[in-house]
Order: sequence, then C-alpha cells, then structure tokens
Amino acid sequence: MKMLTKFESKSTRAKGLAFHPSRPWALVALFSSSIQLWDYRMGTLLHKFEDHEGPVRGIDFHPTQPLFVSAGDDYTIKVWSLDTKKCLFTLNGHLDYVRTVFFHRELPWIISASDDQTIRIWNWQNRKEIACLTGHNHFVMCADFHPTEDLVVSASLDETVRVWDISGLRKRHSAPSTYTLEDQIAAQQNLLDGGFGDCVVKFILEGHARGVNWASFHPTLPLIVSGGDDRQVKLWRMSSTKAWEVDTCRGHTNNVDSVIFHPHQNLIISVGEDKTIRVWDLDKRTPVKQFKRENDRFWLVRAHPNINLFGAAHDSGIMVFKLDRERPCSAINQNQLIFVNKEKQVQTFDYNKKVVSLPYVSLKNIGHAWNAFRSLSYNPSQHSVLVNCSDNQGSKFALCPLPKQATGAIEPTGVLEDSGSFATFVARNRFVVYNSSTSSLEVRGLDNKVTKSIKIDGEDAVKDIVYGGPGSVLLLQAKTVTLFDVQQARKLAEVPAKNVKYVSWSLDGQFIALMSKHTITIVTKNLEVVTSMHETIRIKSAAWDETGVLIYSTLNHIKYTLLNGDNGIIKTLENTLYINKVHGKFVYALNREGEVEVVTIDPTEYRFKKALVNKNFPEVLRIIKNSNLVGQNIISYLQKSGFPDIALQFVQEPQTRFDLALEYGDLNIALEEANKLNSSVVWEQLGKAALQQGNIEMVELVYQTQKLFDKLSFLYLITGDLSKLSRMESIAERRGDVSSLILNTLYSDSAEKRGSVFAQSGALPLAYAIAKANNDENAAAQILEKAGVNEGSVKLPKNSTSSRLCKSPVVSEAITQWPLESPGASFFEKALSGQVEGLSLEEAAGAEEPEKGTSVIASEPNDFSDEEEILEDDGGWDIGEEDLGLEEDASEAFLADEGATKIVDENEVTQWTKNCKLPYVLIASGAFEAAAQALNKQAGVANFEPLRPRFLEIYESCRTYMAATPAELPSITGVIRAVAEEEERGKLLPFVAGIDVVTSKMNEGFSLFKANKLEAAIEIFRDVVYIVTLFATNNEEDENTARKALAKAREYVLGITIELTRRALPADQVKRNLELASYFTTTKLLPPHRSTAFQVAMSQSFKHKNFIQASYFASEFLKIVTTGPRADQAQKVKDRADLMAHDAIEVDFDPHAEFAICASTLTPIYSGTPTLSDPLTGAKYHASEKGKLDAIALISKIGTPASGLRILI
Amino acid sequence: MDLFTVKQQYYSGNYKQALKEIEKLGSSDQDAVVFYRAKSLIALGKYEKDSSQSGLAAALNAYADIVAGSGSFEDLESAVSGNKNAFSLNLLASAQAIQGQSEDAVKTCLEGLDSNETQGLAELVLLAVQISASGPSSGSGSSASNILQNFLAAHEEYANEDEIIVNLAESCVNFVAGREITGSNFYFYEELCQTLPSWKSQLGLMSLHLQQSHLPEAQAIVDLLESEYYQNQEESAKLYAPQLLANKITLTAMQGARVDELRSQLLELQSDHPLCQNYKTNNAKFDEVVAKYA
Repeated sequence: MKMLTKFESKSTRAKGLAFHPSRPWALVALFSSSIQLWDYRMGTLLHKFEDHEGPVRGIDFHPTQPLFVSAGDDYTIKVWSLDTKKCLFTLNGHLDYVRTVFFHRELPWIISASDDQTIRIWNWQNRKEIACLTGHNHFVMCADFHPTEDLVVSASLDETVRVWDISGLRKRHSAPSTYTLEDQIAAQQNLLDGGFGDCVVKFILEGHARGVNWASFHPTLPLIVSGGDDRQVKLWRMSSTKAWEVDTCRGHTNNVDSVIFHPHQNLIISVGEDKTIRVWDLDKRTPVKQFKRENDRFWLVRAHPNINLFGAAHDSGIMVFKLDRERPCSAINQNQLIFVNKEKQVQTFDYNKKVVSLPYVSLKNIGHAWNAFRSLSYNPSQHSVLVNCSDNQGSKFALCPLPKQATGAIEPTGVLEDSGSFATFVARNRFVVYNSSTSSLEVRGLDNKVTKSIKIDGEDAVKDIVYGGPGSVLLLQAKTVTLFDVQQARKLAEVPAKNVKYVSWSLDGQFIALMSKHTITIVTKNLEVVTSMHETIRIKSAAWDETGVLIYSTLNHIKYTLLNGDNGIIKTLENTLYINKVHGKFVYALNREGEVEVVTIDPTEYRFKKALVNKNFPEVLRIIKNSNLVGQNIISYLQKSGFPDIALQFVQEPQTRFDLALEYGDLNIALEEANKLNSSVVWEQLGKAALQQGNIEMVELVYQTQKLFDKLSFLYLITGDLSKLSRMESIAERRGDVSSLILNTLYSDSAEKRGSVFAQSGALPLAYAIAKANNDENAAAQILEKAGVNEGSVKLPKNSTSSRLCKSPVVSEAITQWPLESPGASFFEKALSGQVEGLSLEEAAGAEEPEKGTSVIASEPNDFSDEEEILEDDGGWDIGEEDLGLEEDASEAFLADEGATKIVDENEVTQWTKNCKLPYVLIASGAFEAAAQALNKQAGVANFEPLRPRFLEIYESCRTYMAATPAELPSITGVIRAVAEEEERGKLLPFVAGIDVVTSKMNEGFSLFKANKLEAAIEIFRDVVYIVTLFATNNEEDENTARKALAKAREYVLGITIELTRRALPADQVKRNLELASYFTTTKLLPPHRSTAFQVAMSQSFKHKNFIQASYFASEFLKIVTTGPRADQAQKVKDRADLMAHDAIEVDFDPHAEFAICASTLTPIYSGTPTLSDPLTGAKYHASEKGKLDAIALISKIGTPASGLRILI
Repeated sequence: MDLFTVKQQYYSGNYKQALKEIEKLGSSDQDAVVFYRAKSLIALGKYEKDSSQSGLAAALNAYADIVAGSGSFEDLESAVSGNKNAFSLNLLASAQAIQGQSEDAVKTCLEGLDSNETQGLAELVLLAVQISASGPSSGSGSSASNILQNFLAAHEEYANEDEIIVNLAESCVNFVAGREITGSNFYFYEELCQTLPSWKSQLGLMSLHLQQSHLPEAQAIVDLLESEYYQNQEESAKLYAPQLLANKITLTAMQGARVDELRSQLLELQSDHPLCQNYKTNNAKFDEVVAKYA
C-alpha cells in the first residue's frame, strides 16, 4: 500500500476537518479560533470564517445543502451559509466546550458532544434543541449518528463507548401530523424533566482502560471502532440485543485521538498523538501500514463521503491523502485492452465489439495485499501478463499465463513470482526486469531465467520502464528518458524530461507523448522533442487518435494537442478517466472503479485545426460545410494562425470582413465592406492599404470619396496624370481654397497662375517675385503699377530664378495600377464558387444529374439509357471496373430529383438517405427510384414486380401513425428508427427488421420442404431472396448469415425446380426423369433434405434398371442416414443393385465429374464450358442464357455486369 | 367554470365520461361547454343538430355535417364569419384540415391565436400543432414546434385545465420530431393509459412502443384493443378502427410479415388515411420503376 499525499495545508493546530460531498473543498477547524475553507485540488485558501471565540473543534458540511456547522470552546454551535459565507445562527445550550458536531444524513438534525457530559441533538430548521442525551459521567469526546439506522455512538473520558437508540426521536419529529399540542407540551415537559424517553442508552461498551477519544460506526456492518488514551484501538460488534468487544489493535505509542473504518475496504485507519497514521486490517486486526510525521501530533482522521480520499488534522495543518493508487493498469494488444479491474481480476475489452470479457483470472493473492498493481505488460504469443507491484518493502512482479477462455475469476496456474521492478515484455519470449540493488537491467526468458544482465550507468535512478518498440525499452528516469536497445545493450537516444510517469506511443509508432505530473512532452521515436506543454491540473493519461492527434485527460478534462502544440479542451469530466485509446469520436478509458467507459467526443475542432496546419484545405472546407463549427472563436483562431482568407469566407459582419480582407490583402472585398461601413477611419485604412499595393485607382476612389483634395493632387502628380492634376487646380480655384490652389500650381509648374493667385490674394511681393523669376516682365510691370511702387525700390533675393525643379513626367500616360502579379483566387474562393473539381464537400451534396446524350457520357457505363447496348457488347465491360462511386452518384442524382418536391427542410427521412445509401434505407425513405437504380447496378435487378410487397412493407415498417384530436383530423406520422434514442443526426437510420425475419422464413421453407409442399416452399425461398436483397444490417455477423441464407435459398429453389420439373414430365421421358432426379441430388440442401433427394434418385434409378446409379445414390444416402427403416431399404436396394451392376439407360450424369446445373435449362455445365452467373443469386447458367431473367429469384438478369449486392450499413 | 375533468376525459378519448362531466356542470350556454358537448357527441356519432341555429351552435351544426360527409364548407364558413371566436375558428380550421387545406387551416388557427380571445386558445394551438405536424411537408415538425413555443412564450401560465391540451401538443411535436421516444413522450402515454385508459391513449402508447421497436408490447396492445372490453365500447371501436388497423400494419410489417390483407381492409375503411395515401403514392412510384426496367 502506498500513501499518496494529495494536499497539505500549513497553519496552526488543526482540530477538525470536513470534506465537501461534491466539490474539492475541505473545511479546517483551527485551535486559533478560525475556520479555513481550502480547495485541495488547486491548493488555494478560499475563505476564512471568524466568529468563534477560542478553539474550534467540531466541523461538518451538510450532505446536500450549502451549509456547514462548527462548534468549539465557546460552548456554541454555529451554522454557516456557504453562499453568503456568513454565520446564519448560533445554537446555545451546552454548558462547556463542544467537541464534535455532525449533520444527520437525511433529517434536519445536528448532533453535538460536549464536556458538559451531554450529547445534544438539534433541529437546524427550527433551530431548537430536540434532545439531550445524558448518561456519560465525564467529557463526551465524540458523538455521531449511524449512517442508516436510528442509532448514535459516543465516546467519553468516562472510559466507555455508548450506543444510543434514537428511534423514538425520529417518530416524534418526523411525523408532525400526529404531533398534537398535548404531545408538544408533553415533550417540553419531558425536556424539562430530563426524562428523554426518546433517546435511550442501548449498549455501554466497557473495555478501554483510559478515556475514550473517538468511536465510529462501520458504514454497513454492525461494527464499532474506538480509540482511547490507553493507546488502543478496539473493535466492537453489536447485535440487536447486545454488543461485545471483538479485538484490540495495539501499536500506537501515545493517545489515539481518532479512528474510522475505510468506507469500502476492510481497513481501519487510526491517528494519534504518537504522530502516526496507522492502517489496520479489519479482518485480521494486524497493522498494514503506518505513516509518521516528524513533529506533528494527529488529532483527527476523516474519510471523504464519496471519493477515495482521506484527511487528517495535525499540529500544523491538515493533509489530504489517498491510500493506494486508483489507476487500473492496462495494456493494449491489437483490438483488445487487457486490464486489471478493482477486484484485481484480469479482463479484456474488445474495441470492435465494445464488450468486456469475463474475468480470466483473479490476481488477489499475487503481489502485496491491499496494493494495486503498478503496471501490466501483455504477451500475445504466450497469452500471459506481467504485473508489477511495489511498496516500501520492495518491488515484486509476477508472470501469469491466462487461460484461453475467460470463464470467471479463477485462481491462475503456473504463475512465476519474483522480486524485481518494472517487468516488461520486450519480445515474444523475453522480458526485462530492473534490479534496483545492482541498478542493472536483467533480460529473462519465459522461465524467469536471467539470460543477460546489463548495468545501467549514471546516477539518475530508473523510476519505471516501459515498452520502447521491438527489442527496446524506454527508461524513465528522474531527469531524463532514455531509449535503450536491450539486444545490443546500448543507449539509442536520450531526452531531458523530468519525472516522466507515463508514456503513450502514437499508432504509427512515430511519436511518443511523455507525461509527467504537469507536463506533456511530445518527442519523435528517436526522442527529438517536437513540442512540450504545461498543464496546471494534473495530467492523468493520453492516447493518440488515428490521425495523429494526442487526446489526453487531466483530473477533470479531456483535451487535445496537435503536434504544433495547439491545444484545447474537448470535454469536462465528472470523474477522472484514464484514456487508453481514441478512435474517431470514441474515447476509450478506464475509470477508477476499473470499468471501461466509452466517451463520445466531438473531434471537429481538432480535426479542423489539424487540417489547417497541414494545409489540407479540402478537409478544412468539408469540416466547415458539414459541421456547426463557426463562431468568433474559430474566426479569431483562423486570423491568428494566418488564415484570414479562410476566415473571410465565413463572416458576414462588415467590420470583421473588412479587417480580414485588409489582412489578407484583398482590396476588392475591403472596398465592398468599406462602402457598407462608410466611416473615415475605414476609408483611411483602405486608402493606405491601396497605396501600399499600388492600386492607384482605388486610392483615387478613396480620396475622392473622402474629399482629400490635396492628397488627390499629390497622387496625380506622382502618377503623372497631368490632365487630372490641372482639373484639381480648377477645382481648388472653384472651392476658393487658396493654399490648395497654390499647391496645385506648384505641382503643375504653372508660375503664371501662381503669380496671379498671389496677386489676387494681395500678396503682391510674392506675385512680383514670381513674375520676375520667370522673366514675365509684363506681369511684373502690372504688379508694380498696382502696388504703386517702382522697380528700383524692390529688392529681390539674389538667386530668384525660374525653377526647373518640376520635371515633366517620363510616362506618356498616367499610371493607374502599379504592376503587381495578379493574385489567383485562393483555394477557398475557388472551392466555394465550385471551381475545384472532384471536391466532394458533403456526403450527400446534390450531385449533378448525369447528362445524357453528350458524346463523352454516352460511352460511359453509367448512362442508363444505353443499358441494352452494354449488355450486348460481349466482354466489352470488365465488371471489376465498375466504379461504386458512379453508382452512388447516380442514386444521389435521383434522390435529389425525387426528394425535391417533398423535402422542404431538414427532414429526418432525408437524413436517413444522407447517412446511408443502401437500397433498404432508400426504400424506407421513399426514394424508390434511387433504390431501384442501386439494385440494378449492384445486382442486375431488372424485374421489380416481385419486390413490390417488400418495398411497400419496408416503407410501412418505418412509420407509425398517431390519431389526432378530434379523430376526424388527419393522423400524424412519426418515424421509426433503428435506435429510438439516437440523437446524432449523422447516425439516424430507419428501423430494420432483424436477421431473425430471414432465419424464421428459412425455417418455414424447410418445414414446407419436409412436408413435401414444394410449390409453397419455393415461394418461401424466393421470398428469402427478396428479403435478403432488401436487407440492411450494421454487423458483419448478420450480413454473413443473410448472405448464407441467400445462397441456401438459391439451392433450394434450384432443387425444388428440378424436382417439380421432373414430376411434371410425361411418363415416357425416362431419361430426362432420371437425369433430373440425379441433378436434384447435387443441389446443396441440408443433409436430411439431401437424403430425400438421394432417395428419389435411388428409387427412380432402381425402378428404371439403372442399377449402377441406384447403387451410387443408395450409398450416398447411407452416408447421411445410417439407421432406421429408410436406411434398411437403401441397403437392400444397394445390395440388389450391386448384383445387377449395369445401367439400362445412359443418362447425362457423372457423379464423379465436376459440374454445375444451369438453373434455367436444368442441364449440367461441365467445367471448361463457358458459364455465366446471376449477379444476385449467384446461380450458374449456360452462356446462351445471357440476358434472360434469373430462374431462381425471377428478378435479376443473367450475366449483367454488377458491383455486388450491398447490405452492410 | 372549471372544465378540468371535462378536458381530461375528452382529450384522452373518453367521450362518454366527458359528456357525464359536462352534465354535472348543469346547463350552461358558455361557448366552451357547448363546444365540448358537441364535439364529444360528434366523436360518439350521436350529435343532433341544435335547433337554435345561432352563434356557435350554427357552426357546430355545419361542422357536424362536414364530419358526417354531407355538409358544405360554405355553410360552415358563413356560420363562422357571423360569429368569430376561438371555438368557431377551431371548427373552421378543423374543416379546412379535413379537406386537405392544411396551410389555410394553420392560418385560421393563427388568426384566432392573434386575436384578443382568452378562451379556447390552447385548443387552437393543439389544432395548429397537429395540422402542421401532419402534412407531408412537416419537416420533422419544426413549424409545429415553433407554433407551440410561441404560444408557451406568450402564455407562461396557461390555465390548469388546459394542461392536458398543452401536453398533447408537446407530445405531438415530440412524436413528429422523434424526440423523447424513450423518455417523456413514452411516459406521457403510459401514464395516460394508467389514469385515463381509452382507445385513444392505448393507440398512442402503441405508436410509442412501435417507435422503440417494442414489438411484443405493441402486440399486447393490439390484443387488448381487440378484447371484449374494448370492442364493447362500440363508438370508440368504430371511431378508432382505422387507426388500429394502421398500427397493426406497421407492427406486422416490422415483424416481417405480409400486410396486404390488412392494408386492403384499411383502404376500404378509410382510404384517405395517411398510410393509404403513402401507399397509393408509393405504388404509383413503383409502377414507374417496374415500367422503367421492364
């Protein structure tokens, strides 16, 4: 047994402790007067409750309500709300310290034990004391209710344990209707009198030599355990009338303060002031395990009410721990999981059939008692398991061969047990064991003989060994993981990874997930790190799905991670699961009860992300089309991971579309959205983006819309669009925007204009300077005149000459578009606009109607109108080439056609056809034409009339009608599904009658045959063919049965046809008569029926003096029927015939040649002659029968190329 | 006036008991009472025309004629237009549905539901739900479901006596959509069969058994309904005979046996039953198939 500490708190002395029934919370009552609420899973202090004065000793959560109760040395009991975190009320009454308080499990009662020598019971709903139990004559240290019966147990320093009967109290307080006023008065009187007739002492248990500190009831058995200052733990048993001491557990070296029974196992757990927690075997009263703290005395131990956890309060806080591991160990072999259940029995689980086997063996007596196995390794060739088990006394392993068949939990035979760690199979006949004393790896044979011993170097101790591929193991060490080749005795690779505990190999053997408590490291098979990730919640297990995604479980989630480290939550778990396999949407896991659970998950999200990462765009598109995977989350994911173009396809909202379009650089979409949004910020962004891309036209458009005239001018300048530039000048002039106008004159280098503008605006000096610089003397003179100054008084800057900075454009025409490579439409745009060929987005996307009459298609076999032509084309068509895809397309086309009028929206019936395209399902959905099409392609069915009743019945077997109110209204139609409670649309299918319909029909045929009602029997066997033709099943076993039935029915129809033909012959056709009788014997009937055929042939042959043949038939008959009058007669015939030994008539029948019977001509087809078979029934025909109707079932055409009947869903 | 027991009996198909309960209420000319009395009598085939020929009575007279197959739709229309309320609209919508005008019928129901009426709304909802669930384009009952949801959203607290009506509507929605087959819908009928056993509730339960492929249980109900006790309830036996036949056909088909004979009985009895209509469509479809490949 291993004590696994899950949580420790640090505080002052803790006297009390309680577990929340469902949440990971623990309350701690402290000696320092406060109460702490801890989340022991996350290790955080959630709240501190302070209201008590002095030490708090008793504490308890209510089993269902958000309440808890506390009590302490201030004589009070307080009831608190967990919602408001406030004290709701205080119960006063005790006259001294209160030691313990507990809630009743169903009644609104609280029980308290106090140093005032009383036990009191309170009703917390009306906040009244309802009973006071007196009798102890010293402090009462503890008192609690029995979990199910009306009993109380108490322990006192008066050295006794007492059991009280409180059934009277329940009667009085839980039947208020009979609680009259008189009763109430009497009860109060009772209280005052201290009579307390409701609660009486039932047993006084004496035996402890000192004060008793604790006593607890067993959860189910009539047992009590107590602990006291005499350092002893005592076990008591009680019957309805008496109680007695059973035994004492000695070992504690100081006062025992608290002792409880293990809730599920036969163990006692006690704690004491000797600083130990001790675990005892309840049946043998022997110590099993002890745990010691260095400095802290233990005061209390408590079990979690629902899960396998314990808590202990000590001098410096509490500890939450588990006794023993709960992970069931398991191994996978092909399609089987081999695992050890909670009872230590080996079972298997078949992933295909999803069934758990009976136990193979019970390993109860192997390893250490009370210890779960640590790991398991399976050897398929020996059909044996290696189990490992360890505790502080050392490690052991056992090699245990399993019986061939699982018959129950039997004792295993031939078990080899030895000491050594981490035994693991490395080959068919070898396993390795780690010897920790010599730190070497021993290779052993199946006889446990050591064949090789390899020293493992380095100080990094080996913590575990797991399978590492053929002939290799992975050594899990404290700081590294090493891949070790056992055969060559050498290290192959090493990766630093701390405290790796578990390992999961990907299905293709390429990747390994290394799990430690909080980290998953994914490495390649050569131990090169691919990715590593941290989890705050403890990681429990992992398995790879078939596409290479790692699915892992933490304490409370199922999550996924891709090889690039992208991860997310798939599902929240209520109980911890250990995943061992993932297949599609099924996650297979073992729970802590050692049972297999199959969890259904939605793999869409990670499939989608994976497809994206791998740039598998058709898959991405398919997923998006077929799932409801949209929403902000995915869009932002796409954007973040660099797929704005994909995201763009799925957004409607203009702003998001605009942002995505800009990110992707699609200006046209951005423009479209900008038009909708029409805000200056958006335009500005678009303008910038367009400028960056050199899309001049768009920049121009943006500037125009936003009336950014100056920017426009500059744009025209740099693109050399002079005509527009000059237009800008006139626009500026019209607008009266002087500075803009001047800017434009600068751009267009029109000095004259600029001068006149300056002049008009009154800036005459500038106008003058311009005129002068450009040698426009006329203008200069005018300005001077206007200003009234003469030339001499104006002093111009020296270098004011005409500017030549403005160059004329080098391009003859304005640039409108910066030459960029034009982007092709993205994959997604193409796909969405239907340009990608051969892309099937939905399983049931409406395929194109096959175009008839075009030259290409006319030569294709799927052109139905040319059917006859194909049939006549001898050997021109290879059946093998018939493509199933074509056939599906065809059915879909017809589906779309037929369904169009009926299917308005997502009808369930439409869904059926989407989920499955078997003829049965098509018929059930009413798509008769599509079904007929499929049957024709699959089995060459051409004469449908005989199938009419089946078609109608199948349709009718999937619908039920409910009367409306009033009854004159039309009835309401409901569908009947294969699985009534199926919720997933993708799995909805119509009801299918089981295989028993086929088998019972066969039996009906057999009995008719036996009764010689051949005309009726042949109809029944034909019916069997029809039923199987229109059958559907989801399991291969039934499919097999159905196909066998079809073959059998064919033989019977053939045989009966032969016999009926023979009977109808005119008496003079003796030769034909004899031939038919002998052919009848070649049909593969059931032996009893075949004997009848032999009998007919024998007597006919004998009658017509074909003695050799008669003898042959007689001996064949005798092979089947060995005794009885018929056998006697046959024997006689044989004897007589053998005497004669000649044949009177030569018949076309050689019993020793291989031949088939042509079902229509009823003549033999010897091997070597050309034959044809019927695509549906498989009956054999002469080549001359090609194109005729099959004589067996009368529905298919002989020799039609067909793909084969399909009935498996 | 509390019509709780009346409605319980009427909607569970116990028309005689419904009439008894109505009698207990004493004579009343309230529309609801008149409505249920007449409808119960129609169901039992014992309706006699009210002489008053005014108000709801006139509409009921016209409706009874239509059910009997002799009335004219115009008579009913004019009677209803003279006295439009939830009950008369109910009759009009029912008649429209019987004549196959399901879209108009739903419209009529909605007209009543949108009005300011307070009485008879639940009845209209049930009617609308049933009609929109029964058509070939019911689309797994999404429109029926919408009608019911809208009603429930607008009337969070409907009258206690209407509970069975709302439950029936809900069960109808579930039935068409194939929801709660093994859950609440099944238990609804099972409870109904325990508390208010009748032809109608037994047939309902049988449909739910069929949906779950519980063939022995469904067979047991057939045996029960064909037993003396139920056959002695002549009116109901007659009223629900086509329904029993339809369910028997489904059951027999599910058992993999021949249904031709049962089907021809049903064709004779009620050729406009949805099963018969489906049969006719399918048969025609099959004819085409046969012809195409022949």
